[in-house]
Amino acid sequence: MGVSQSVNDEAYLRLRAGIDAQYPPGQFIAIDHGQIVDDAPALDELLESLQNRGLEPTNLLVVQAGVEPVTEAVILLATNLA
Amino acid sequence: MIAAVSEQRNPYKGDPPRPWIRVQLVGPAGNAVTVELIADTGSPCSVIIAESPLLNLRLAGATGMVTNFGQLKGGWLRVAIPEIQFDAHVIGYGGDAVAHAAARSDLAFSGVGGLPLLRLLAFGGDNDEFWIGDR
Repeated sequence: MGVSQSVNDEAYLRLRAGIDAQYPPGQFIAIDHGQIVDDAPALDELLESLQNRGLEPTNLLVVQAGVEPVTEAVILLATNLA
Repeated sequence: MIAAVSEQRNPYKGDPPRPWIRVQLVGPAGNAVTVELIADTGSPCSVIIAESPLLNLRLAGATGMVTNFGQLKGGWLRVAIPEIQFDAHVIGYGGDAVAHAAARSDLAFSGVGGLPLLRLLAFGGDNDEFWIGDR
């Protein structure tokens, strides 16, 4: 994980309650270097806006307001080991 | 007049036999890669593929996930299934161990398609095949 990704993930944990309170459910939010830099009601719209501003979306964290992220999971995917 | 039913039907494949779906992952430049994913309603992840293709195909970053297969990287993916007119953005994950485990059943499998993706579709199965359709 790159430093930027880690910073953004940590920032999201800190910002999440405020994001859920401030933005309508489902709104797409872009976080860069720990700060909210843009938002839009649709992902395509957000990506276009970011690119128009010279920001590379793959370097940012994009989350949705009101959507709880899955951060831990057990994946079963049993296989025949014989 | 009865409307035509759009669906994708796939005979179980692999050892052990797996239900599976064929999807296109459309990258940032519009480049589409067709992959076969084990359909797993027990998986809480929409899509899991190997890390490298995830990083190449993701449109934006997303939160990662800690699993029993290790840390998975996250990214927003565009998933298209042309035969059922499905086209949506979902959070996908990259994990080589998961992709490797899927390929142990059949080398054609690139990963897993889980419940968050399947519930955007109609899906089902019988003794011979697994199917998905438009809702």
